[in-house]
Amino acid sequence: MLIVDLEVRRNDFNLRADFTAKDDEIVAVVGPNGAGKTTLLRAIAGLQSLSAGSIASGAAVWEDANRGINRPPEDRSVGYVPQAGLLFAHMSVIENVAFATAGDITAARVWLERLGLEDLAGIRPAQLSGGQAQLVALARALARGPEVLLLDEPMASVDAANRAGVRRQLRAQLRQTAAVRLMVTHDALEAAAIADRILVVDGGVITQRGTIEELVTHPRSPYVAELVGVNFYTGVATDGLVVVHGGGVLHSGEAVSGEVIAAVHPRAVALHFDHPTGTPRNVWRGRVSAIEPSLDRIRVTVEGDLRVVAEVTRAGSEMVAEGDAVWVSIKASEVSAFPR
Amino acid sequence: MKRFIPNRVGLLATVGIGLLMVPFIGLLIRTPWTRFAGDLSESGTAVRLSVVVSVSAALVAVALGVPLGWALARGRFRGKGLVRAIVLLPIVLPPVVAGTALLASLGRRGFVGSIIDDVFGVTFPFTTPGAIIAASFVALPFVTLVAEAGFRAVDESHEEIAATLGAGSWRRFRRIALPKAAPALAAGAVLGWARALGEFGATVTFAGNLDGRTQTLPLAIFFELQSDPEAAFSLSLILVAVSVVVLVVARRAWVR
Amino acid sequence: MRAVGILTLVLAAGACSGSRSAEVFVGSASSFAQVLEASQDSYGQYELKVLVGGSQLLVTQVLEGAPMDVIVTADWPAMEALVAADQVAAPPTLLGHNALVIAVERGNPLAIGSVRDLARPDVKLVLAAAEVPLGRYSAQVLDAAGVETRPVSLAGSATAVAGLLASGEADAGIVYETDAQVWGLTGISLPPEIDVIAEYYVAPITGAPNPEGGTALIEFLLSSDGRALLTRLGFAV
Repeated sequence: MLIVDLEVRRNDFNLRADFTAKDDEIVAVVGPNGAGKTTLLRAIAGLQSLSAGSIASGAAVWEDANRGINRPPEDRSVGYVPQAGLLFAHMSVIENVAFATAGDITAARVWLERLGLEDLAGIRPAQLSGGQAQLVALARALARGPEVLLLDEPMASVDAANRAGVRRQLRAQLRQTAAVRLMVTHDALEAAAIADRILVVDGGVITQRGTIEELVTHPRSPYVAELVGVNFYTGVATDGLVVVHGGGVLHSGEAVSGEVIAAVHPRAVALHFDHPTGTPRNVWRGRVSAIEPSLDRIRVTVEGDLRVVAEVTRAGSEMVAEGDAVWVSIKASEVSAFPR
Repeated sequence: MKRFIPNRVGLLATVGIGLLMVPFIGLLIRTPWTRFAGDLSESGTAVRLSVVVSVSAALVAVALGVPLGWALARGRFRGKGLVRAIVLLPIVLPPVVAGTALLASLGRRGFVGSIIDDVFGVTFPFTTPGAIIAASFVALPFVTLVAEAGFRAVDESHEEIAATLGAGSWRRFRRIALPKAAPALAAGAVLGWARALGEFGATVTFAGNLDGRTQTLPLAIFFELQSDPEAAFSLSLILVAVSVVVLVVARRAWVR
Repeated sequence: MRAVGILTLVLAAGACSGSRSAEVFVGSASSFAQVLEASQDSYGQYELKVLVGGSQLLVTQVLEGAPMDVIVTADWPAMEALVAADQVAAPPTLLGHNALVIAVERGNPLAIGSVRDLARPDVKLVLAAAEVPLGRYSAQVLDAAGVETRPVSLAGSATAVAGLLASGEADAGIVYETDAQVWGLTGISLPPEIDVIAEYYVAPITGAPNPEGGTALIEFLLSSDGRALLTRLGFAV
């Protein structure tokens, strides 16, 4: 179990993080650029000293700023897979992995086989593709048998064609490993696909923690909402009626009151050319301001009392153009409102 | 697109290279080619001694200078500025001063030398090891500074990753930093060797002058100049030729 | 052949300022330098710039075009090289003599008594290199005594030998009597049958920057005042 309660203060930047991670779960660390995600990983690895606080793995204290304890990376049971793999160019693939096994080539070979990389054993890193290099870097880090495995944007250097395959391998390996696993990513899909739990780091602090479902239904910041692709509003509610800050009203199915966040998934937003019939309690008229393709659906932004993004099918999107007037309808039960 | 160097700069550059080339041209002209072969064979002892002393000194300088360069590039300790200033001293000092300092410390009456003499009955002045010490002393700063620059130029992130893979500082130095900085280190070794080969002031002051034992080629040239200047020209040309050959070979190896 | 000027001693400054008639450049064998330094006060009219080195080195420099007004060598062969090359403006004159002695550390801790002792394996012997006058004289002395020695180093000038003895790096050496005095070394005189008398020669150089100054210096050294100075410093005239 990894117990982190740290603070890193630098000239331009401040990071505070306080969490624990067990070795039976994969934790994704998400956040915008410059939020402190890499700093957090480096601090845990021992590449960045703490200004205050401590890091412990189980009973072993790795760093404690108050007691003057600071173990260097080589004395921490840690494995680090950096963004660019950073394989040693002057060594072959198997020599790279053997570096972590203190020269034990047999053990290194076992690790390569586990990841299906045994054919690459004698090759130099320069000849590997981005995806292969990342998997070798993973094998190398795993070969050390660490208690804590850290991955920094593991898919960043993998080109789009190979991404799915490498992600599958990554997921399989991570699920099989018994260690605390922390993975930094800016891709919600990746986080959702691989991780059990998510930590959101923004502006040097952890702004939200939870499963992907929790993030989607209860995003606590515009960043998270943007990340998971959800419509996000703040306002004051009275028994489920939300008066949105800045204008507009939303009826939600939950009987909440006070300062709230209201979230609506784009798929729950229906668009009509004529005033919709039926029961939805949220209806208003607006103008289409943007149409963007997103994976296999189209995201349509509509300005009106509230600005809202709707997700429609391709067929549906062919019927609207920018500037068109449309009616928006959302069922109250699809509006998730929760206290801030 | 052709690029023309502005006139003034080109002129200064030409003067610079001329200044460097004129002495060598003079040497080529004055060398008595008729007796060159004879001079060459007679200088055998001095040449051999020079090779032994300069190569040994280069090895010592590399063995000590490369780790020192790494410590300066990567180490986090107080007084780094002071250490670097001390490393620079032998470059800045006149070699004779270096030789005198060596005498004061490692000579028979020196504060270290006298202890060594009492305990082991060994002194360094007037010996070949003494010549090697003098040459190492002046070569060490070159190797150290080039090594430091070489290590600095290598991205530290590879050593960081090595640390996370369990490598302590010795393993990081030996298997990551050293191979990556190897071309720069080789250049430093050649530079140190060249300095050791040409060393005169410190050698003649600390090690003395005796053919076969301490009279390296530069010393032989100096003394030959006083009795048989023509021979001195021949020997000087030999020294220049050897240096040129090694520098060209070393540069090819380095560039590749 | 006055072609490319070469070496290390401080002649560059001399070359630039040779046109100033107030200076006289004297190249002097190292053992004679003390006489010239002392001359400066009694001599007065011109400023003496003394260039010290092994006689042979000075000769080579003159041959290569170094500007000098006067040269003093510690033996005839060195001067002869200049005469043969037509570099002297007037015939060289004998200035004075110097005796050779065995020099040891003050107090003679190794109890050296004769030339034979110089061959002892426990004695670190330093001699002047064969290229300089003192080296030639030392070889004559050792030859005459029939002693073969194995010096640990051959120094480039008389003062270099004396320096090594004074600093304690070497145990014994053969130096000029005057140097033994100046450096505070204990001198052991040589028996007359093997002793060699060193002869100092002086001559003006052709094409000197300051011929009048050079001549004036030589006249002073040969005058009674000059002789008195030489005697006072231990040279025989």
